[in-house]
Formats: sequence, structure tokens, C-alpha cells
Amino acid sequence: MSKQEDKDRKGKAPSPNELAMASQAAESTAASAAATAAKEKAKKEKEERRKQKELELKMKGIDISGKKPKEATTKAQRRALQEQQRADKGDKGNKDQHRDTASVASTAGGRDSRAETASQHAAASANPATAHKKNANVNMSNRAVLQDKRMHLYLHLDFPQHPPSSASALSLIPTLDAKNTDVAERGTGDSGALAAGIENAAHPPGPQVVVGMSREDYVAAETGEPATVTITDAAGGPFEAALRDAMPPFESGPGHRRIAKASGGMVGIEIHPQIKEVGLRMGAMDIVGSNARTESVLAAFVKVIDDYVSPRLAVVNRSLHQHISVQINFLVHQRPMCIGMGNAIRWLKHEIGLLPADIKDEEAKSTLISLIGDYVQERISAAGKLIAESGAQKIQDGDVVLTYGASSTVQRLLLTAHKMGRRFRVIVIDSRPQSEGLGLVRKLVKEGFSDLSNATDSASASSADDSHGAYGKGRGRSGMNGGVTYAPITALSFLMREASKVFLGAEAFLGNGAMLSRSGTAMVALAAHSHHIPVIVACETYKFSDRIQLDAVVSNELGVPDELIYKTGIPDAQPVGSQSDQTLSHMEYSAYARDRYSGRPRWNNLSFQSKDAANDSGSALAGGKGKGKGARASAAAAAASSDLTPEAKAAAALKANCPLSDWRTTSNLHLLNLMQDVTPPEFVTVIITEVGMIPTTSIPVVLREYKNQI
Amino acid sequence: MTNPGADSGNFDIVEHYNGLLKENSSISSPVAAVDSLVKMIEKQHATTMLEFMMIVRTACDKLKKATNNSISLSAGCDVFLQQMARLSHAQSVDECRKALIKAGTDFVQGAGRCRDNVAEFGSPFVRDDQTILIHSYSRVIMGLLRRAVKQNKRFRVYITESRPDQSGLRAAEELYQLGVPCEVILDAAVGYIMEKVDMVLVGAEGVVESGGLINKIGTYQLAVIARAAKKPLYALAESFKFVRLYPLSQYDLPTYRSDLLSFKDKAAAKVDWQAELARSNPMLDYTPPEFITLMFTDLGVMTPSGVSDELIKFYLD
Repeated sequence: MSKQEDKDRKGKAPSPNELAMASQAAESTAASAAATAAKEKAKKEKEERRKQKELELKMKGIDISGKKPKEATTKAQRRALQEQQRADKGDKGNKDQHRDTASVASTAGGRDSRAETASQHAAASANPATAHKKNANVNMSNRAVLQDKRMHLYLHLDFPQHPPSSASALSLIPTLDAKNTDVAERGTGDSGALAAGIENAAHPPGPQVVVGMSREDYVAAETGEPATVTITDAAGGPFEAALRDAMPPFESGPGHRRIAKASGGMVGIEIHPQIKEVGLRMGAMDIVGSNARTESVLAAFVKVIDDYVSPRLAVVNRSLHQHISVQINFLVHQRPMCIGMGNAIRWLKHEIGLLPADIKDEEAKSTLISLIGDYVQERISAAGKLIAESGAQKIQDGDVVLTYGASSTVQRLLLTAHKMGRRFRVIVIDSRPQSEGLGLVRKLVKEGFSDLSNATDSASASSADDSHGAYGKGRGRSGMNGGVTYAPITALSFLMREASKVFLGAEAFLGNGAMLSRSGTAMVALAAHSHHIPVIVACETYKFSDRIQLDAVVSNELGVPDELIYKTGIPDAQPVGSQSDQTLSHMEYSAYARDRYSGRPRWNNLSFQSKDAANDSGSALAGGKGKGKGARASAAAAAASSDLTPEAKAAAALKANCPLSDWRTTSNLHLLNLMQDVTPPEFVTVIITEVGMIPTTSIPVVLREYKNQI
Repeated sequence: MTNPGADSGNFDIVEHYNGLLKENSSISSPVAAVDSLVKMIEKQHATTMLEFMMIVRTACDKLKKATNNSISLSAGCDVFLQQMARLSHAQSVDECRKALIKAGTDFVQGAGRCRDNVAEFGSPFVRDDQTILIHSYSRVIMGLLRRAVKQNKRFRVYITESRPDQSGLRAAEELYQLGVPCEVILDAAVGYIMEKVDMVLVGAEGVVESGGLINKIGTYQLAVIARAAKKPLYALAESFKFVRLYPLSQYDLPTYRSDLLSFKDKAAAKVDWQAELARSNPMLDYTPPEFITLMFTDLGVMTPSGVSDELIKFYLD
């Protein structure tokens, strides 16, 4: 690759083939530009568009087949562009923020990128005044490498700037597209942090993992040194924000400090404690499900707004907007937003933007708080109730209802039908690693779905009528006797024959009618479709999105890979979030983290800790990080020889139970834990919404009708 | 029991409805329903809005109960009720009543034109030397074919006999009078004839929210065979037949009764199978949208999903 060659190819229109490949390939060098370009789009300013076109032209110049990564512009030009865009952006709402910031995927590796980052470093040191700012910049761009051509994976793994997660993201991508081996050879090459990540990927992990951060940052983080940056306000007038990095010491760890920095340079805006709680609980999978997440986030924002005091001389709607954006950034870094939540937040920002400029703080706050209350009430709670009521009408006596996982809306629907006295059987299909269906089964059993007395009652009462009725007939056992069946998804094709209706929940419906939902849903819908069983989806309209996604690869969320390899039922191998006795206090974020899940002490750290312990028992690292683990694991470690430290014993026990526990250090072993999948519209018979029952083809109509209301 | 409907003097809405259908064979049941409702509210003297609305609702329920074929009728009632809901924030009951009467009368008068509009939109699809398969007797199909004949188009028509009421014979008779070459086929011969057919036309009792339709029994199998033979199937329906229902299967219709074809305990020594046939068979079936190529409506020619869009728009605002 030579720069000259790159420049020569600049401006050459890419062939459709190349474009197609671009949508698969993770474009590295131009991605930062692409990400900013994508954000620009949202603003719909003509001038912006023109600029973006320029950018795109430059992007197109790049050979996207990935064989010859190249730079769109010289680094200086690019940086200048970024600076410009940032200035242009001001504090205006970034409507696509949740997408952009969530698209945290990054690829790394390769000599090129290292070389490039080296030169970046050189540039940075040459221009120390902008060093901090540039860093923030880098952080933004780093997160959006796959943004190009809407190809972005929501890499669940990504803790803002922990480079090793970039490395693991990289390691996953070839598994998605094995042909595209070039991906791995390309570098993102934009940040020093990343370079460190690459180095890190090259060497076996160890204590030196701290190089995940640039030295300055690390020092700043360790010493609690404030980061001073200059930011530009919306009016264009610069003001000095020599604010302390006001992140209170929370779960201590440099990672958190860096979040503040990642939030678009708006250092000094505090993350509200409520937001922190909600964010961390979401990240730990303690709050799951679109409805629960959206409701808790909106509830947190009520607190945020209530506690908000706008700075002197600031226009409340603008400053509040900025304030909220920072909170949202934090949330996104804990876990990518679900679409419903994104819609709700976009709506909130829109409402904030509608506040008159001269509105008083108090007035603005009370208006917004009551609006949020209405939103939760109308679009989520009341909507769910309506859906449950109208959906329950679709359950007849004798039905065998099959559902997958646990959807709060479906649960409500089933309970409503049960209360109405409908007699039906429920099959709950579940899958690892979440096993959410267990909760649903418990609830149903608790509500008397499997009551025998009830069943005999109903059987005798109905013998004349529906024993030969249409429902459940000819499909194995009739549902007249009620009951609950719980089965893994591997039993799906067997049980589908018994079902007469399939009820599913959704995370979102996309503009083309496709359904985004918990991974595995598409399988269930496909099976139902091929058995000619109606698939009924219960979904509130606030989860409708005008986005279009053709499959689950272009955008997804990655779950914790470790969840896949630990056998359930082994106490020491449980993820933190899934155990009721575990609380946030067990989470530790560590500077040595390979990724954010290293916060789970018994998990990731153990794997390389065991090495440490074995080689050098009592090393400082093991001593520092090992607290609380020994006790837990010691019982299982009985077999281990007694001269080892507790940590080493624990590690040995873990290894015995879970042979793959050191998968992170095994080269060429990739674990893929996708969280979502996309169900094609033809598999969905009907969507039950609060505005009625609609076919998937009518999503755009509902979106259009609601546009006026939002 | 004092029925609020009794307030409407001695006007019997069911009688009026049946009378309308009897004296005018070209009126369709949703229109007759709306007309009856208009007549009913003209005669009653509710003093509060609540009472007024209750009377109208009761009358609708009464109508639905009184007729065995409530689907297309309920389309008319739904339109009327939606209209009432929109007008319900009028200042006074009298105002609302006046507006509703006006809207209802307009609807009834406009309904006649609907069928012509369908014919106008649909007739270009009929071309010279085509063979058309139609099912049962449908006034709107007859309207379209009549127009096509007037346009000097020459085509042939196969008509299903359409058991049990053999309404296909009536259609054949009418088409024969028009000079259209036609042939009545057995319902069981649909698969046999499909290969010779260029397009299939069906009417509709009601068009549902999924974009599918509810029609005389046999439509579904016709549609399945047409799909298998890759022949276009066009459904003809006036927009007042759009009904707020979303059937998930054949058995999810309001007309579904559990005693239909349900293997009754026939302990009797002798069964009159002929009588049993008519008694225990359904009269309607549901055709899902994926089997319908296009819908000819008075709003234009639309895809099945276009119908659901129209319905959502109508009932959302």
C-alpha cells in the first residue's frame, strides 16, 4: 500500500461490486470519517450535505475490497475535517446518536495500522495543545469503525476505550465472513489506544494490558488529574470549561473516567447517580427487556431532569440537551440501546428542543417530567394493557400457545387470557445462555396455569363442545386441559406440531416489516410458518422503527462470550447478572481488564491469572485482583494440590469444570454470542399493537400516522 | 327488560333491514345496515349523548344478532359507529344526530356509485379473448362484467356452481342474457379447469385488516389452486366492506360455530346426510392476503396490504 497509489484511486467511482463488498467489509481507515459523515446526515443542513458529499467522495476513493487499505485524505486533512465537523455540530442534538455511539465495533490489527498510529502519535506530540481534544475525537471515531455502509455490529464487548475489546471484536469478524480474510489485516489505525490494543493482541495478555490507554490518560486517570479541554458552545462562542472531571469515584477504575471523556468532549458534565445505577444494571443484564429498560431509563431521566440546574446564562433547552446527551452516552457504553429506548430518547430530545428559549428552569422541568410520565403511561403501560386485552381475545379454549423466551407483553397477554377463563396450554421454548423462559414458566405456574383441579374442571365442562373443536385438534394434545410445557429450543420442531398459535414478543419492528428480537425468535417463527401456524407478535408501537435491516449480521449486539462455554449449574461459572444473590457490589472494573466483563472477577481474570499464579504465585496482580474469589472457588478446588494459592486452586477448578475457560488465550478460537436476530416479515401473521391488529406491511402507515403525534 | 332501543318508538330495525334487502336486490347489506340505523336515529329521541350512543350501539348489536351473516353487515355498523365517535364531540345531541343522519344518507346514496367505480377501475383488466373464472354470484362482479360487455370486450366465463345455494346458476343466467359465453362448473372441478383460465375474479363479504377477505365458501380453495397454477386472482369489493377483523385462520371468524363439521355424536339409526350437509357446513371462508393478487375497490386498484393501510388510516384518526 502506498499513499500515492491511494491518492490516484481517489475519486474513482466504486463499482457496485465494490460497494457490495464494502457493506461486508469492515472498512478501517475511512471509518472514522464515515462515522462522522453518518452523523452529519441527521442534521439535514444543506451546507452539511455538501461537506458530506465531499467526504463520501473521498471515501469512495478507497478500495473497499479491503486489499489495499488506504487513507481518504492525509491525516492532517482528516483531522481538520473532524475538527470542523465537531465545531459545526456544536451541542445540537444528534438524532442518530444512539446508533452511532452504539456501533462500537472496531477492527484492529495489522502492521499498517500500527504504523499509522505511530504517525498519529507523532502528530499528537507535535501539537500538544490539541492532544486532549484529539483524544476525544479518536474515541468517537474508534467506536464506529464498522459504521461504513450501515455495517455495524453492536459490539457488546466494547467498553469504551479498552482496546483489547477491539482486538476481540476483530477476532470475531472473520467468523462472520470467513472469505473476507483481509479484514483482519486491516487496521483501524486511528488511535494510540488501538495501537496498544494491537500490541496487546500480539502478545499474550498479562499485567501489561494497561497499555489499553495512552500513557497520559492512564496517568491522568490514576492520579485523578482533571482533564482540561476547550469546547465550543452552540452559539459558536468558545468558553473555557476548566472543569474537573467530575466523575465521582465510582466503582473506581480508569474506564469510568474515560467515559466522561468519550462523551464528545463535554467533560465536566456529571453522570447522574440514577443513570449510573440504571446503566450498570442494564450492562449486568439485571434490567432486561425493551419495556423494562425503556421505563427505567425514562424514570431515571425524570430524576435527571428534576435535579438539573442549568448553568448561568445558558438556554435551558440547549444546555439540558447537552446534559442529557452525556447521560445517554454513559448508558450506551454500558449496553447498546434497544430500539424502543432509542425512540423514547429521541422523542425526549425532541420535546426538549421544542421548549421555548425563554422558559424558566422550573417550568421546563415540570413540563418535561409530566410529558415523560404521559409517554410511559400511553406508549408503554397502557399500550401493554390494551395489547394484552385484545391479544387475549385471540386465545380460544383448547388452544396450545407456544412462546419463546420471556416477553413482558406476552406474559401479560397470557395472564389476561387466563383471568378471562380461557383454557389453554402453554409451551415455553427457551434457549441458552439467557434462559429467560424459566422466569415466565415460574410466573405461569404461580398463576395456576398448571393447576390440575382447574384442568379437570375444564375438561368436564367442555367435553361436549370443543373436544373436537378446531383448536388443538389434530395437532397432538389439545390444550383443553391447560398446563405448561417447558422445553429447550432443540425440541422446537417436535413441539411445534402440538401448537396452534405462536405468541412472540419483539424488540423492534423495522420499516420493512422485519422483526428484531431475541436471537432464536427467527427460528421459532420459521418453524411456525412451515407448520402453517399463525405467528402473533405483541409489540407496542413505540418500538417501531423506520430503519431497515435485511439480516442480523449488519447490526447486532454481542453478548458475553463466556456465557456460552460455562456449563450451567456450576456455581462458580455463573455470570454475575444471572444470579439473584449477586449484586452490583460484586462488580469490579479493573484497569487490567481485557474488556468490560473483566469486571466479573471470577471469570476473565482467572484465566490469565492462573498462569500468573502458577508461574509466580503471589504475584502482585493476583493478590490485588483475587479477593473474594478464593473463598468461592475453594470448595471446588479440593482436588487441586494444597501447595497452590487459593487463586490457583480456583483457577484449576474452573479449568476442570470448564475446559474452555482460557479461550481468550487460545488462538483461533472464537466465541460468538449474538443477542438478536431478524425475522423476515412473511413469518409474522399479525402484530398486535395498541392501535389494533396490523399486518407487517402496515408498519410504515403506523409510523406515518404517529409522526404527526410525536 | 327495557331495552334502550325501545326508545326509538315502535321502529323495528331488524324488520326494516330485512325489508330493505327484500325489496331491493341490488342493495348490499352494509348499506342496508347504515340505512336502517339512519332511519332508527331519525325516530328516536335521546336527550343525552350517552343515551344516544347507547341506543345506536344496542341497535347495532341487535342487527348483528338477528342476521346469520353478520360480517358484511358489521362493516356497515363499524363505519357508522366510527362516524359517530368522530361526531361525538358535537355540542348537542341534536347536532350530532343531524350530522350523523346527513353522513349516513350521503353514505347510502354514494354506495350505489361505489359499484360503478369498482367496475370502472377493474374493467381494463378484462381483455379480449380472455377466459375468466368467477365464483358464486356477486353483484360487483356482475357490474364489472356488464361494463366490459358494454365496452365490446369478448370473453368467456366459467362459473362455479357454488353449493349449497347454487348461486352460480343465477350468475350464469344473467351472463347468458348479456350474451357472454359461459359454462357452469362443479365446485369440485376448479382444479380441473384452472389451467384454461386467464384470471379469477371473486367478490367479498368483507375485506379484513390483514388484507385478506371473507367470502362464500369455496373462495379459499379457489385461491389456493389459482396460486398453485400461477393465475392472477382479483378480489372485488366496495370500500364499505372493509371490516375491522383480523382472522388468524378459518376458525377465527365471528361466524365460527363449534358445531360446524364437528363429528357430532350421531347415535341415531339413520342419518339424513343430505340435510346434515347443509346444516353443518360453513357458509363462509377466509382467504389470506398472500393468495390475492390485487383488490379492485372504489378507492382504486390496490394490493391487499393497501387495504390494511386504508383501514388503519380510517380507524386511527
